[in-house]
Amino acid sequence: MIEEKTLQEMIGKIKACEAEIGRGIIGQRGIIRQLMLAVLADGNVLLEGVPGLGKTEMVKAVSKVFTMTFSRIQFTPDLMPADVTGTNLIIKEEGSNVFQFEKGPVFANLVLADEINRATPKTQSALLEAMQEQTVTVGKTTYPLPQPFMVLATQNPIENEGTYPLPEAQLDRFLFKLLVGFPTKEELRTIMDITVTNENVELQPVIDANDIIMMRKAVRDMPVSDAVMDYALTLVMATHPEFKASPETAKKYVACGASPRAAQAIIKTAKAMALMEGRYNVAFDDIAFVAYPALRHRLILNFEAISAGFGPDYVIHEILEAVKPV
Amino acid sequence: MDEQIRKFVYRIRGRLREQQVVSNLVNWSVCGLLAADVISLASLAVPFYYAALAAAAIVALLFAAGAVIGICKTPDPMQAALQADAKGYKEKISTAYFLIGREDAFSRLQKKDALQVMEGFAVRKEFPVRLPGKRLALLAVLALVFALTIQVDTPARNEARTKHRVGQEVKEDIARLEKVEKQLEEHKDISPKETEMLKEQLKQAGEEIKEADTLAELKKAEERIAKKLEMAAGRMENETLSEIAEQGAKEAEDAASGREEELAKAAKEAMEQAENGSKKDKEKACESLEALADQTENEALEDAAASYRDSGYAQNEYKNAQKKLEDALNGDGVQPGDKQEYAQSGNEQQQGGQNPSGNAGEGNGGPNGQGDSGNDKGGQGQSTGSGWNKGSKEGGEGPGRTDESITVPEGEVGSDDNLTGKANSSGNRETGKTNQSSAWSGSKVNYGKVSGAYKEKAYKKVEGSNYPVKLKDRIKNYFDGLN
Repeated sequence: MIEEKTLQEMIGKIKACEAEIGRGIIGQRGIIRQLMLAVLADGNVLLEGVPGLGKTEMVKAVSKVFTMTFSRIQFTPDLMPADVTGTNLIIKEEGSNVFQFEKGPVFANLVLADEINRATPKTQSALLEAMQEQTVTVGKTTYPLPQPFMVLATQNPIENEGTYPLPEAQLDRFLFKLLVGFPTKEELRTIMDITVTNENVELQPVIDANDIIMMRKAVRDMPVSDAVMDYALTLVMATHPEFKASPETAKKYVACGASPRAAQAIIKTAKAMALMEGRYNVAFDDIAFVAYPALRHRLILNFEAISAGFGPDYVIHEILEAVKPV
Repeated sequence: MDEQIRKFVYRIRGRLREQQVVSNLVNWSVCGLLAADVISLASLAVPFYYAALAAAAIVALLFAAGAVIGICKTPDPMQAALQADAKGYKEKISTAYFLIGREDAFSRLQKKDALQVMEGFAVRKEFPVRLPGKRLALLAVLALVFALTIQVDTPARNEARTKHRVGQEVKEDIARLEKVEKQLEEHKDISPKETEMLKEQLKQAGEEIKEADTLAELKKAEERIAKKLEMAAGRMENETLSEIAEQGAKEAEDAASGREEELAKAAKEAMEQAENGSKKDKEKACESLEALADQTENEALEDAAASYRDSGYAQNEYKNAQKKLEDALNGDGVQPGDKQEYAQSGNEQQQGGQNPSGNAGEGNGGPNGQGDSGNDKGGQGQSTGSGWNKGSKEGGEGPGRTDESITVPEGEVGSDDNLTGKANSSGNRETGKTNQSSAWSGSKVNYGKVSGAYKEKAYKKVEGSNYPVKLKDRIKNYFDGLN
């Protein structure tokens, strides 16, 4: 049972954490917040954006503030699954050769899968078990990953040559898909001030792994009223064109709606959102806020939507407009 | 903590209920008044006596419906809590209400947080019970339209009033007939044959009364019933039966004359009051005159009332109306306070509309010329005569009455040649004595045949005359109106 005092301290730490990351990453407040939500909700994040927007820096900043073990895997077409998960090596032990498991870079609290779509599907799939079960199986042995565990993957949306789009099954395992946008002129100026001068920002650790585990527990305990839960579920149902009450846009442009994992993602991250804002209950606004990053990679749009130039965010917006809280 | 949350949510709910009730009351009242206006406007053209009553009932009904629906539509506590949250409280109140009964750390913190919100929540300010200005203005306009239109007098309204009055009178008459019938059943000494005979008479009388559409028709029907019963009483050997019939006859006769007297008296009083009275008094006087004109079928009185009204109640028109009323009271068979007599002997000259004695009743005799004394005398007079089986009732063929059999005095049906009535220059008819009448009580002839032949003859006469076209039309209309 979490005590009231602990809970209050937790909220304070979360706010401090957000502020500290913000010190190192100029702008991208929304992305930082959503990243924090994913951390608190125990989920993996796919960051999508053109090169040079600071995706990798952002992940590094998170790792510094969280004081967790961090590893970075640069995904390339020749990357093999064993390069990710680790492999059994033959070593000499007391005069005989024995197999010993050599842990791969996935054995860290925070794994940065940089340019994940450059690796072959086989290698991408090596992350599936890690992301969902938080375990790695090599041969007949299953190894648990350190807790808390989280994959932060990045991908470049404009380069298609030599890339392998992530399969739907893997996409569904990402709690959020965040679109990293270009900074504003003012933000860009501040970035210049920091990066092209001798000024150096040293981020300080704010929370550790134990804190995160406790926060995740607190998030799970957060109460959600029936009305709010109902709203979240209706939103997810509305993404399905076959659902009677789904809006016209969804019926017209969605080929396949969001999975139950989407509902889990929405509820979990909405709870985290409430905690981050110092509330003890989830609001309708929390649900609407997390609906975009939780649903956008889970909606499979049909050809009509693509040819009309409509993306998932447009469909989600229309669904949010159509489905109103009770 | 839970109790505080519950109380707060119920307070919100109560406030929402008040809002709903007020809003519904106004909305439904607007609907009610709209319906009332439609009824009121429709009743200007379509006779509907109970227009005002129906409109008031609809308004009251919809008003009550508004209140009931407002109460029924009260949101449940969770809905009320959500509505409170919609004021920018991030679902704190609804979640607190949802968490009632839970005591974990999160629930306690959440409820504490919600209670803080509730402390600063001004229920009256956040959920004000305001009267909707625009809809209230609409309500006022609709009420005004109703108040104005319901007072306007139109022919349809007058017709509705007359029909209602006739309906009331018919009911009373039917009740009287039923009373006579009951008396018949109570007396065991009356033979079944005689009872049956009188019952048949009463049944016919009842049907005749039900057919009356105007007070004048009703009056004639009552007079005929009185006469029939009177004659039936004369022929009956059984004393009790005779008494019952006589009593019935007397009551029918009293009803016919009483109403006319009542109307005449009311008209006289209204005219006196109107002389120096308010507009309302003058309107009332007009209505009384019209009612009397309708009852007596006195066109002059009707014209006088219409002229008085149309002139905007001018003094000279008042004098004219007053004079017409006096004429009608003195010489047109309307005698307040005096019992009207019926011409029965057939051997006395009776002059319709010019009764010098003022108490002898209106002249009788239609073109059938049926005196009822049996001594070959037939009376003639103007068609508005009040004599039994004479006057207008026998004088024309009305729609739907062609197959009706009417009772005439016993004996043969008189010939039209026996009629000696002549129209004078003013359109009145004189009556003269004749010894050619062969009519007698008890016989039945086909009403349609008689009235049709009469009308046809009258038409031919008129066509062959040198009367101005307008007058010809008027005469024809008169005959057309006979039924």
